[in-house]
Amino acid sequence: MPITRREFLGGATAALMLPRLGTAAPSRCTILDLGDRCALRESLAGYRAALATAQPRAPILVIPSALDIPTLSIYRCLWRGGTVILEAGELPLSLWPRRTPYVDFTWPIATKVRDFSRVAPVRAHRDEIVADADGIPVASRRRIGLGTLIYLGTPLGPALWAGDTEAKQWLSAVVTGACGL
Amino acid sequence: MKKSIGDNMIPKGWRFERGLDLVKQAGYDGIELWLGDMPWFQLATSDADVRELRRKVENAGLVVSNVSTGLHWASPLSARDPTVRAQAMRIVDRQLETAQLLGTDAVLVVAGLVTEEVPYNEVYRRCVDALRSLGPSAGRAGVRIGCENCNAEQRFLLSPREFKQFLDDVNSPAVGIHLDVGNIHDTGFAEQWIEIHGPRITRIHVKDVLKHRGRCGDQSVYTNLFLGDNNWPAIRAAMTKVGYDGWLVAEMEARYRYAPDQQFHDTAKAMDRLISGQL
Repeated sequence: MPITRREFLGGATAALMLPRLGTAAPSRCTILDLGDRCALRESLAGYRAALATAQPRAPILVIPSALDIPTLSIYRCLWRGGTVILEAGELPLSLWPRRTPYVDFTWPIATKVRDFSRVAPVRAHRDEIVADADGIPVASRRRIGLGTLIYLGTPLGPALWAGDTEAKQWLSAVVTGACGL
Repeated sequence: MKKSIGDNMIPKGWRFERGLDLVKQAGYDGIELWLGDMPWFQLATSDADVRELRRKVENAGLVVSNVSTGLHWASPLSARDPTVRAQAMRIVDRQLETAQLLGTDAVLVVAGLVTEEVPYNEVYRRCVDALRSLGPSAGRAGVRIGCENCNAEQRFLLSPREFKQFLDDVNSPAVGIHLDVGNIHDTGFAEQWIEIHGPRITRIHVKDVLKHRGRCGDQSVYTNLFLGDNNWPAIRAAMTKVGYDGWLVAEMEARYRYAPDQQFHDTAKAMDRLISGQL
């Protein structure tokens, strides 16, 4: 992936200052298929299955297992006050062997989700961290403009695809905004 | 029924032809070829060389009963890494190709591997998806994929009904079960597996198992036919009940320390007793 998260966040913030682009409004829930830049096709399938009938209050953009960052799409969603779930496709750090196979999410609900062997550690302010694995921060949320960017350095899509109940509950809580964004 | 034994039983250092002579002399009708296990049959073995293997088998008065592989232990269809899964699919594809070249209609696949790291639900889903996509090509090739029950080692599909549900979910006439009656251990009874799977059985591996006789009394260990705890009269009766008349393939895991060729003869005699029902 040729762009770092820091560069991405900077770019996304700057993009908010650009004039509004004349594009069609995105659907309420969009799952972006990056084609061969989606590292795990089953992650894409997992989000599609989990969100097939979702009716979020605000626009949701999900980018599963991303090897590229589609900055413009992200900007559009954030500009509309939506939520972007950006899931990392490049996972440089192996968690295994480890004692327990879970990632601990603390927001929007506290739950344990199966890890996916490898993670992309997150560097963010402590208040922005929403999940960790063995003390390693692996997910964050950040308000950007009107919207919220959720960065997942731990793949959630494969767990959704495999029917993981807690993964579904976590995503559902994000989508419905039950706990407030 | 016909008798076969794996080429991976051929003593180390023996040439393929010498092993075939032993298999024939011991009274077997065929040989199971293990892709990737023996130097003469690797993934890189060319089609021409595979045809040459068939010629040697037939010259020895044998046929190839089926194509098996242990390569999926290292490259499982259930791996999280898509590149490993792609390799696993290539292995099955090559099994199907070589089965056609060798004139047999069955391959053995170890479908999935549950570990502490890769959980059951993921393994199940990936294996179903993989076998659904492999089914049509197997059907076109006229070859059936037999998923082996490696209950203890795979920690997957531990009961016969669970295995049936799995095959129902795959829903392909070209995908069945390669039943190993020695692998069931304490998770059930081989004769019940035979009853439940009946026509879906592609081949049967035979070996015996000594339950709870391991070093500390808490392990099961494989042994020769009739030395273990399998209920062979019941197994034989179940084969008759479901009309199984296919290959019995010897897969002996404990090898003779001395006179290794003797195991071929002893096992063949035991299989004759099993087939004849004189138990």
